[in-house]
Amino acid sequence: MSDLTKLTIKELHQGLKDKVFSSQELTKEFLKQIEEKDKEVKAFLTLTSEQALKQAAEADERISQGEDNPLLGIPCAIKDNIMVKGVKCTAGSKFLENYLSPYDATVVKKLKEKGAVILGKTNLDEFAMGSSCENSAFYPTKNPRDLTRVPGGSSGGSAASVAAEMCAFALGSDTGGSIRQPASFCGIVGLKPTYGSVSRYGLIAFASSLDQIGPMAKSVDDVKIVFEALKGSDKMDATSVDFEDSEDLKKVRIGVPKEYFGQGLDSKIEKAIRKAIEFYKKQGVEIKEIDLPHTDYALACYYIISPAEASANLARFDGIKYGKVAEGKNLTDYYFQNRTKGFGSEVKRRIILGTYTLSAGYYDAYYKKALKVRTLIKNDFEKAFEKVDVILGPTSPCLPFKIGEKVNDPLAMYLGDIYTVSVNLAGLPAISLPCGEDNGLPMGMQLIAPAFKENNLFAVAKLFEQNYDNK
Amino acid sequence: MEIKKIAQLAYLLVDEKNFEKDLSAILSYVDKLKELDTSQVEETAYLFSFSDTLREDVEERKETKDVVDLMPKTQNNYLEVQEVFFEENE
Repeated sequence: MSDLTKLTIKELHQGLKDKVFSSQELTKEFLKQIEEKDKEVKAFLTLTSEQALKQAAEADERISQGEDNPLLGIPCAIKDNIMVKGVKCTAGSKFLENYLSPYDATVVKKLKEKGAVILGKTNLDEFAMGSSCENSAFYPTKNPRDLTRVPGGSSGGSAASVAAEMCAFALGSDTGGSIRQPASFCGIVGLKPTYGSVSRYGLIAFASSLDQIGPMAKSVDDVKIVFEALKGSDKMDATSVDFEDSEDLKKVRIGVPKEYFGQGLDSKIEKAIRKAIEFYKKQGVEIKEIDLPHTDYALACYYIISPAEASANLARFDGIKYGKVAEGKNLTDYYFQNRTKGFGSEVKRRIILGTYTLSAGYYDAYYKKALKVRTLIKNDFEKAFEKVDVILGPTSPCLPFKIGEKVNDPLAMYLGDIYTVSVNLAGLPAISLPCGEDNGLPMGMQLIAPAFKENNLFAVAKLFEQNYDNK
Repeated sequence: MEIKKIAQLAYLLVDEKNFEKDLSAILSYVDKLKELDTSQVEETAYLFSFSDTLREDVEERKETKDVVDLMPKTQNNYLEVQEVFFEENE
């Protein structure tokens, strides 16, 4: 029984269906695993053991009545910026330390309807701002593959919880790489879906034109199963849409942008990616060199747009309606005291940056300029996708780094997002999957597809996952 | 960049020294966008057009208890705040 936590969703579903084990037994196994491993890893901020066991009992009842769906009775974890009714939702911030979610996020509602079991809420960089989980107001999460290193971020707790086999899958959110980079650092699979394909209702907003919720799991099939359960329009999110699944690819064409192999890319990662390209060639896949000429500007564009949107979104945190952390002499002082004590340094830095680029006199030079560059980046992808079905490159330019290594150099931390941010700026779907290891440290490969063509990603990723050896 | 002034617009009290170095590094990095000629380029704020997402105009009533319970101070189920009009020097 002790190996249950190693199984994929697909395998667990089969076991539940064949009554090899029950969801209650499974849930207890995962809770035991959490008890043993999370003392060190610290992936969870809140555990919901009691509710989980109740949900598992209900799932067992539904299974015994013959219900068959792939998530019924499967234990999962939820990033702590996504609401689960009645459970704390901190977003990794002091501001929300005691905030109890008054409602379920749409994705959580959907998971509950499918009968998934929620084990707890996972750690993140405060308000999802960061790439290492070190900006959490509570404690840093550690990489289960090497406890002296970061798990990536901002969905570092979710990635670590899957990698340490403390849940079968987890939900994360991705504004500039926050699902894909931690998936890469922890050696798991993470999907950032097309903007609008999954409802954001109940996700604590960071940058609303970039934010997207997505699944993190052990395999490509598992990520697909969860994505299928989450997708679709929601009347509570006017930017969510229904869409038709893309057809299966008959002949795959993969594009390799030369801009993704520039300065700053770790040579070991480059080698692993080149090997993956060779693998696809041998599989008969057509490989084309392509141009994404504005790649070099994506990061600058992102670090104008996302703080600008964040400064507006985070204006709501004032300690008035909830989340009081300080007193004030008068109302103005109350705002100042609460916002100054409630937010951590990185969040303050981004609010100041966003307020600056949106302020009179600078709006055109920064914000408006960035929106124009965003168009150029989007056009680059559109042009590339006339010739190829999927774009391949590294997820992160560097291997998982040591805890504390970059924490005092925000710009160095931002540079790690170089391959992931352009995907959010263009609203595209992208997946990160393991493509090798260096001394036990995982490396990730990123595949990018045209909007709403997640199926391209699953097909191309699965080909690799099933047939590539020498990882 | 006048950090203190900008921070005040966002209701933040900050020690300029702690932010000056990093913010100026970030700003000089993002300045590279100026290299691009965008005079003929439209802006993209949202990726896709999300038209026709109107819903039926029906009132939905929800239980307020969970929301009221989160409030730091209440009176008869209403949010209580400090007075809005006051002398700045008070």
